[in-house]
Amino acid sequence: MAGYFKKMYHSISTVLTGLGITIKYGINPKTEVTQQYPEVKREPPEGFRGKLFVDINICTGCTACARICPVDAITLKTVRDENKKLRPVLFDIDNARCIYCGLCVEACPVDNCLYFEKKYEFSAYSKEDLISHFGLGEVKPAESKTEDKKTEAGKEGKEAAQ
Amino acid sequence: MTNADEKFMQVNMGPQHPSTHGVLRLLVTTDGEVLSGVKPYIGYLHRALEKIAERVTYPQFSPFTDRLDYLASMNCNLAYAMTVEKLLNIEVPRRAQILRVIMAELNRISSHLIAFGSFSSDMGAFTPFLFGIREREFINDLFEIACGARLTYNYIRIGGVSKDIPGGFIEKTREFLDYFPAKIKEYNELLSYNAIFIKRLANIAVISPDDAFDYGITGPNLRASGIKWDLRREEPYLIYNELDFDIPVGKGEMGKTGDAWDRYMMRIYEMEQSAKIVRQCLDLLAPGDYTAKVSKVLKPPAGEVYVRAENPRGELGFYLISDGSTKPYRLKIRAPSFANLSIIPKLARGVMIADLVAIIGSLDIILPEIDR
Amino acid sequence: MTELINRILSGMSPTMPLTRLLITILIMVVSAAIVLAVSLLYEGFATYAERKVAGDIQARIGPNRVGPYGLLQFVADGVKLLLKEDIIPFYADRWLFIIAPYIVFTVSFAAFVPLSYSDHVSIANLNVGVLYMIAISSVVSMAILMGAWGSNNKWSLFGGMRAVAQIVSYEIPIVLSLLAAIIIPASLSMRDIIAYQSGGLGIFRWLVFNNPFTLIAFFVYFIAAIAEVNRTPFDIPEAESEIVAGYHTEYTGMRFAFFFMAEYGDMFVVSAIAATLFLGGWQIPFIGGIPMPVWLREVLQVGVFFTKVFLLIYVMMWIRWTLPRLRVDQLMELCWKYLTPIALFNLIGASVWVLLLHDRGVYDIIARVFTR
Ligand code: SF4
Ligand code: SF4
Repeated sequence: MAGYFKKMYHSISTVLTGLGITIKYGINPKTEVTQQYPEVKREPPEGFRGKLFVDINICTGCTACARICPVDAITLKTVRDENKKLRPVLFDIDNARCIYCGLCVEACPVDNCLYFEKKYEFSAYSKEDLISHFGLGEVKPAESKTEDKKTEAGKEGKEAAQ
Repeated sequence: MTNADEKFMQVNMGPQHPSTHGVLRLLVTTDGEVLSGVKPYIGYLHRALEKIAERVTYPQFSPFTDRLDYLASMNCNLAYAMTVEKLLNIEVPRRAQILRVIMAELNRISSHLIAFGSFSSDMGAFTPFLFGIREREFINDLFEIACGARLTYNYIRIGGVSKDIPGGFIEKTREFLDYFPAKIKEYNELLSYNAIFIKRLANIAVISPDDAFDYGITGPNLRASGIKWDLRREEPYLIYNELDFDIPVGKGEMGKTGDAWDRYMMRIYEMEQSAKIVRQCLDLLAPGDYTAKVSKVLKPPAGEVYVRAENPRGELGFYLISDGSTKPYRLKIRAPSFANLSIIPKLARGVMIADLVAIIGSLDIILPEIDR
Repeated sequence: MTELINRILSGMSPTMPLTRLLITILIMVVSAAIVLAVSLLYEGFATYAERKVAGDIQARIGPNRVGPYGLLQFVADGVKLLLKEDIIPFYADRWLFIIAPYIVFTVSFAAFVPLSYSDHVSIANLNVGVLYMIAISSVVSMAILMGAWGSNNKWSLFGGMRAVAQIVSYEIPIVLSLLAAIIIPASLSMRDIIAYQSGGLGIFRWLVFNNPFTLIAFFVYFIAAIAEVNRTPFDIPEAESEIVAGYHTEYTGMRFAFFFMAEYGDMFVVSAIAATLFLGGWQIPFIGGIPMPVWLREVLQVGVFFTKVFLLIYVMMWIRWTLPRLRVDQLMELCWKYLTPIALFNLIGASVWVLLLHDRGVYDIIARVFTR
């Protein structure tokens, strides 16, 4: 019989303790931790692994990134321009395949060439739209024209990335 | 079908069921509410990770280990990195070792927080789940500062860690460690010592030490049965032998040793211990290299190694055979949840449906690791 | 409402039986429509409140997108549910499956009828009001079983069986504890019971304070009532983590909404009974004795009644978002080993009290001592 009441007391007291904790949260609006996402956007910290970006003008076309990528998200095609330098004419990163592991960024031998942007909102309506194209397109042998082309393509690439 | 079979009803619990922790399918034979048999079917999440390992180079496999036990990516990264390092005989710098311990223990806390939360929602209390998630967000923020990702970290690499922690990380971690104990107390008051919760779990699904050995149960589930076995103590790796921490074991506080409540409580105790470890590591942290010199192309000598590490869910082992090329010849993963799952049919005999949920939740299995 | 009809009809010549009949029917239809509109509105806001309360308790915000503070969320939900495909499983027992939600809803709606919202506002002042409420709320269990059986789904069947077992069992403590209160005013009419509780500043003559036994009876009733409406910690008939969604697993769209709304309707009804029988119903506390115009008094009374009911509903929500769920056998244990015996002894105690002291409560005794 004593056990019967003891059990009852134990149940009631622990239930009341629990209720005490929840009501503290229930009546205090300051405890809310939700961020209202589309209105309040959190700033990702330095080194956030968001969308990949390639500064195509300084890319040497060494293909280290494409080779290290474990999921083959990077498609690279290089040709030699008239200075015998390798130029990436095609540089596609499939954001749908990429797992944001960071191996390519670490593999890239050129500083600030391939890096993660802090961007994390890039949903699209079709899979194709998720591929960012950074490639230079055609590389013409003529020096001056190549220069023009490069900057243009670079711009395009940036736009595509946005 | 014989007459005897007609007494029973067969129900498919899962793969789409709220509390099978992923896509586990249990074929449940019941007599009303009482179970007479359970048969787990797995493989709904099979991604052939072991086969993939044979097709990619050693460093390339590291991101795939994130996807083994996705709630404890750091620990999986760690075990894999240690395996390859053993094959290559790489000495990891001290700073990297300390960083690894910090990350592994923080990840242990965050993994246990999910275990705690999802278990509580299995038991019908939804609020502790969100409280657990809230604290886990804090740890995710820490990891994000350190490595840039919130779930699949790929931070611990062969030779060390992928990059040094930025400034502010240590202060933020200390902030978390100061804030965390109060929350654990709250969890305990809200859930752990709640009479209903204890009633649901005490004396349910008792795993005896013998059974635990027979089925290869590891991790908190093994320790709940009263066996003091923790790889961090038994085979110290990294700097664990320098650290001062306790190994909680089940004492049967609310019922028999090794019952569901003990298993649940092990995780709460371990969170406290992990917080203690992280605090010590932060003090030990001295400037140094964050990674050893590792060549870009890894060509380990032919041979085989087996390395195991204490994951939040038990012993994670990698058995690696190298044929001297840049790719593993064979990689076998010993996933703790797989062994832990195997005891479900034994435990779930003669219990009620609600207890089955408690059993799955208290074993804290995770499916991607089982199916690989 | 009968009085209203009588009053209107008495002003008319008795020579027009057809018109009299039509007017009677018209008044009935209009009042039914008013109750339906009010109860639907209440149910909408109750779902909103539930989510908001859950949000508050779980350190979240809750719905805040549709309308100011998310207040119109229920409209959006309702539209969504209306537009959902109405699926009837191929092997379902169509007839049972289709009518079950209507019965559940009708019953919960019918329970609004005998409630006394203020001195003059009530649909029907039944002289067996309490009995009617108890009787009609038992019909729910039949309808739930119909739906569960009709779905031809094993999880639904589990839920249905659990629901019936639970509702039938918990009716006993409910009736026993209500009896302890009813024997004091010695009436089954809601209005008489509330009228009895006037005086004592509108608080101290509440039946809950009448004597120690009614106090206990109130708590027993409240616990059993939570079980009667299937809410956590007694929500085993729809325990999400165990049996998916219980008896309404197969229901979609509007049919599901009927079950859903009926749950909130039931919550109102059991809270209204508690408020009526134990908490003085529409008795205005403190300022009830001050003379005021009739319309103001009526408005205040309705306000007071709803405030009491909503407070009780809030407590139910608060409990729901705090506690884990009991197992089905433990639920029965609580009913038969704890609530029923307590309610029974309590009833004996209350009867002895009434026998010795007639209907004098603790307040009356103290008041008499002081006035002497
Ligand atoms: S981040 Fe990883 S997956 Fe993505 S492109 Fe680079 S290497 Fe490939
Ligand atoms: S590794 Fe860097 S430099 Fe080499 S191809 Fe990739 S982006 Fe260009």
